Amino acid sequence: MFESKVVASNAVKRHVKVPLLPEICILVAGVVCFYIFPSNLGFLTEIVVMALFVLSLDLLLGYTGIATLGQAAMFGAGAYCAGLFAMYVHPDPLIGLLVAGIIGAGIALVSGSFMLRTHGLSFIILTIAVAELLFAAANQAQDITGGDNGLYGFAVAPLFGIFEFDFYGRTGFFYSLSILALAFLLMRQLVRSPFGLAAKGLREDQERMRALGYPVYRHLMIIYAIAGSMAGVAGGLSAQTVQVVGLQSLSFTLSAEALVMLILGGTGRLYGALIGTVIFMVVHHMAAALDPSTWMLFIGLLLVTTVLFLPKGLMQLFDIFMAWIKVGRRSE
Amino acid sequence: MTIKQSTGLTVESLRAGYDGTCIIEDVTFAIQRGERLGILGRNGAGKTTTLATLMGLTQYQGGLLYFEGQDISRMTTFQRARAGLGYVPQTRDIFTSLSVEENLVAGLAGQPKERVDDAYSWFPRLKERRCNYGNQLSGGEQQMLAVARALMSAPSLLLLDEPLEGLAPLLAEELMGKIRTLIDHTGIGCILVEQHVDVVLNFSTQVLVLERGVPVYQGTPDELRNRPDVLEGAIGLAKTA
Repeated sequence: MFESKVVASNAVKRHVKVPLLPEICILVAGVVCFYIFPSNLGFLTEIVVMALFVLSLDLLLGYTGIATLGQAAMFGAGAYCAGLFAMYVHPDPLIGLLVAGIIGAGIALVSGSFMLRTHGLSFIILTIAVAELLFAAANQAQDITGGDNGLYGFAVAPLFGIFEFDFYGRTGFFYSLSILALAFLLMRQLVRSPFGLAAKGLREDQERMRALGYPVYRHLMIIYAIAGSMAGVAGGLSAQTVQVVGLQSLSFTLSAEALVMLILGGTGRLYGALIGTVIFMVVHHMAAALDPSTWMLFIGLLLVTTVLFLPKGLMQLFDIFMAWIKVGRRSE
Repeated sequence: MTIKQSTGLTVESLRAGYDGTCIIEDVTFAIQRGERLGILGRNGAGKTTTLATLMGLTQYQGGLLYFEGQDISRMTTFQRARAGLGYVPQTRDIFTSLSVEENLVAGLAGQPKERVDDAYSWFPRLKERRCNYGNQLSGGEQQMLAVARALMSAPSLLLLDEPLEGLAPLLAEELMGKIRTLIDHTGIGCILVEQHVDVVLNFSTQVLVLERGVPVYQGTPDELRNRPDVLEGAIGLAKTA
């Protein structure tokens, strides 16, 4: 009797693990959206790019406890770099994306080398300052960046020499979606690795991590560079798919919106970054279509409601649902 | 044997504190591999500050601090940990949002992942609870996790700050027995700060008694048992349990 119960309980516990399931889900969801909203591919691509950007922020804030309001610095630098690279060096999108990622990591390393020696409010102010400096520099360097008019007129070569970036945005959408799925896979591996778990340890107690033998500053620098690289790639994707880079890619508003998306979805969960981005962008899109002057009111109400009733973000709804299923199973 | 040839920790006339205030002064002792030093004293005597100073968590104000033949007084906390000092603080500092296994992996600090299995062999209870989060553990389990995490980095000297605080007597006895076995088995040194005088006297090979940050006694546990003046004055006990 007892044995049969144990066997039954083990059977319930046994999960069929499908490798790459989350990434497959992202790709399937993207394909479904492609067929449901074929005339909104530009907007869908924007969501995918933002999701990648918010993921980079999640690595910093959600997993390592680094609160920043200047992540747009790396996004914008990646975007301008990808645009300029396509214009003056080589139009290949993948090489351009690689360069955008390297530039994002480079900006993060240089700025992080002094910023990460500070904490809390000082750090946040410095992140804003760095992004504003780059914003001002891009605005001043009109000959290179196009200033207020933005950088445009660059062409991106077909992906793998086959898929052209068409007017409808099909190639851009699937290209961005694939990069997001790949980045998600890498992030999942990273946060599960000893390195990622040490990042969580840093979030909880840096002093303890030092006492355990971790070079805290070096670890923070690496994480900041990885997140910077991801943000750079997101910026590069934005430049390649839209083929215009504006000053807003370096703006404080972009950093702040990414933070709102992350908090909305839930920090430190990866999926939270995706869900928060989708909800924010869709509500923004719909509310702006209804009334362009009051869309921020809708976003504000959504954020306040979420923070008040779901302090862990919209992902908390998933936790509640899973707890409810567990209770149901037990009562059976 | 000179300080630089020593294989253990040598502390001479150590002064340290916080924000310019001196908390411990003239602290002197030496401990070799395989030895166990117990530090006793009333609350506020400077026991925790002494351990924190060894880890570089306070303001060093003077004195000699040599570990395994090298001057560690100017080293950062992480360098001291890498040099072989394992520290279990009074607050345990378990990462509550991480599971037991994740806590152990996060504490690897460059050690191979197989060390996690070693931790489970030292404390099988942790293996049973490996999926539980830090805040879902009992006080004893948290302490086991803190000790296991410190031992995983293969230290040559373990610093334990009141590991039995808040534990039931039976559990405290079991944990202390386990710690003693592990220390004997690995041959490392250990400095134990503890309020329970009898535990310290039974565990240690030498004892240091602090009073208001200054050493007032240093010797063997047996000698201390015959010093009622120290037991009464500095520790507040008429006689040991």
